[in-house]
Amino acid sequence: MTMETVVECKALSKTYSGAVEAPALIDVELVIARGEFVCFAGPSGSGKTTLLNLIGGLDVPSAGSVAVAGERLDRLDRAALAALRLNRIGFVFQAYNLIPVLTAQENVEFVLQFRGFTPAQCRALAHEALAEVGLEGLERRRPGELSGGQQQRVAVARAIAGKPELLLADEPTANLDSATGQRLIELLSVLNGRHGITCVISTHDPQVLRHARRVVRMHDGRLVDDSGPTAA
Amino acid sequence: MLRFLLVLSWRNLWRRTRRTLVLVAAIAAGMAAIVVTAAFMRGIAARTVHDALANLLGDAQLHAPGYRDNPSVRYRFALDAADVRAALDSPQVAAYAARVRAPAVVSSERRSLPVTLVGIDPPAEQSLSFLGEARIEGHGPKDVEDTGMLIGRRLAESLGTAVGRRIVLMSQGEGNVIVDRGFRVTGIYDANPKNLEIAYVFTGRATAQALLGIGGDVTQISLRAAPGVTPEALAAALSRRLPELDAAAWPELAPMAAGRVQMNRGFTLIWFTVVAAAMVIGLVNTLLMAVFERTRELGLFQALGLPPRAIVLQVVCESALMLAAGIALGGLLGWIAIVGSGEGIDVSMFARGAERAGLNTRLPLVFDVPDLILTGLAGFAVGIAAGLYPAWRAARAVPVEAITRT
Repeated sequence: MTMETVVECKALSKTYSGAVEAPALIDVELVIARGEFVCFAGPSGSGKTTLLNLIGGLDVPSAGSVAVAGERLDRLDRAALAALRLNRIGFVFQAYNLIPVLTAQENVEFVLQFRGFTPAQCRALAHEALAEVGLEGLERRRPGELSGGQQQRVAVARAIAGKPELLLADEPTANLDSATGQRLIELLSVLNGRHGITCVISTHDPQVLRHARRVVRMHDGRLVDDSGPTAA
Repeated sequence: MLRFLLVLSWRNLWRRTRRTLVLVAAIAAGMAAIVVTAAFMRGIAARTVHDALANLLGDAQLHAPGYRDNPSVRYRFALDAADVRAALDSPQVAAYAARVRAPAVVSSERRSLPVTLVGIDPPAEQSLSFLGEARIEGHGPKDVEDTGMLIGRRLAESLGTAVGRRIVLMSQGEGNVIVDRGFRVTGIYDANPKNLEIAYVFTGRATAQALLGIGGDVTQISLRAAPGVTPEALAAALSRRLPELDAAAWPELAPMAAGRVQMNRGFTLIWFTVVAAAMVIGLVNTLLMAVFERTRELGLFQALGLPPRAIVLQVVCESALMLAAGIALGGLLGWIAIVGSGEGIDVSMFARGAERAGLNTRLPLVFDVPDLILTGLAGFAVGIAAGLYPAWRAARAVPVEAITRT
């Protein structure tokens, strides 16, 4: 069976320059196929988040290249890169990163507005996504009125509402208690199975790793172990 | 999309209420300062023009050639000439007053003083000279035949005379003959500026003509231009119609006053520029701070894939809302200050010398709606331009750097 490639990293490196140059990612080769549920595992400073940021086009590599859905990110201009993130990638951040002045519903609708959906479609898709993450009835609450777990589920709803091809989650359970974290990762697993969204998660949380069908282990910026591509 | 951005901008403003209110107050103060200053400068210009025109000037004047160099009755012209009448009835002329003006000496039993004798047609002067608004003790000439004399308060004080008493006026008539005549003071006027009070004495035009022996001739016609006609255009039209006479607009007749008006405009422009520059610097600084405070959030917008123009638009929306509120508030405060100043600012405390010199000591604030609209629009445009820089910076940040900034 031929698996369609969603992410392809070639000789990918990132060095942070400052008073001292700090290599964060060294010569990473990685291919992720559509529908995979991949975890980047490793201790703090191993380069998981850097790799995730480079795949999402949030940062610029020092060397090498990243292609998402066949598009080389280094060949896209600012607007095209933004369009790729908007239409094909969903992000879930460790710190939730919700807009505090918008309600849960508005936080999800906000991104959809820019994808060209009508206001009615935005409302329907946002409602559906919030229901899917179990937040029905809490649509009108602002982030400050929600628990950490609920906020992270709003962030997941925001990420999946537009049905992206790729979901990138950076330590999504880090700020949650273990039970809430467990529910969240089960939710991501279900969404991966139900919608075929390729999930790439950076974590050092063992309960997250238990759900991973593929684990990419990293250390000091290098990819040290890869359990290998698996079909969803 | 725009509606959503506006909602987001509006709510963002109230996220940091104190900062928003401080910025709106700063914009309002800048706007109010500009509006009041503009009104003040306009007031000075208006007062300068008013004082100049009150000096029996009008928008333009007609004389016989040579009169402006040597104001003698030798240089006079016939008021009843057909071409003169036709020119005065033209649509460019709103009103006119024909006068006989001659240098004279007025004497009481106490002293003699130089003045200008003005023979007037009283009804015609009402809308053209300061006599229309002057406070008069007694009364001025009632018609061209009136033989009474109207003199200024300061002149009356210098001569030691009063209403009902007699004075003697001496001048040079036709053929340089010295003529004199006794007049009864029928009225004493108060004028603003005060120096007018020692400059002019008034009697009926026919009385002056008879005294000077010049028949029905006049030495000066003062004219007010019709609405939309500039003094220069009026003078040019009169010159074309009456090439044998000397027609001149008031800036040519009173070049000092015209120079002061011109200088005022220059000062106003400089002041506008200074206040606008201060406003822009303050605005850019505050908007930059506001954007830096929200670097993380704007980085999030980038991470979520919002197009750069949407990020710029969002920051600009916030600037626009603050500017609109600040400009409206500033305009209102400026208007209240101007209306509250009533007839103007009394500067006599700071300008005693000016008062002694007979100059005006009350400076009016002139509210001008186009000034307000133009200032508001200019402030808005400058503010938006000032907000574009931080917005552009926000849109160009590397998302991960923005999003991880604490």
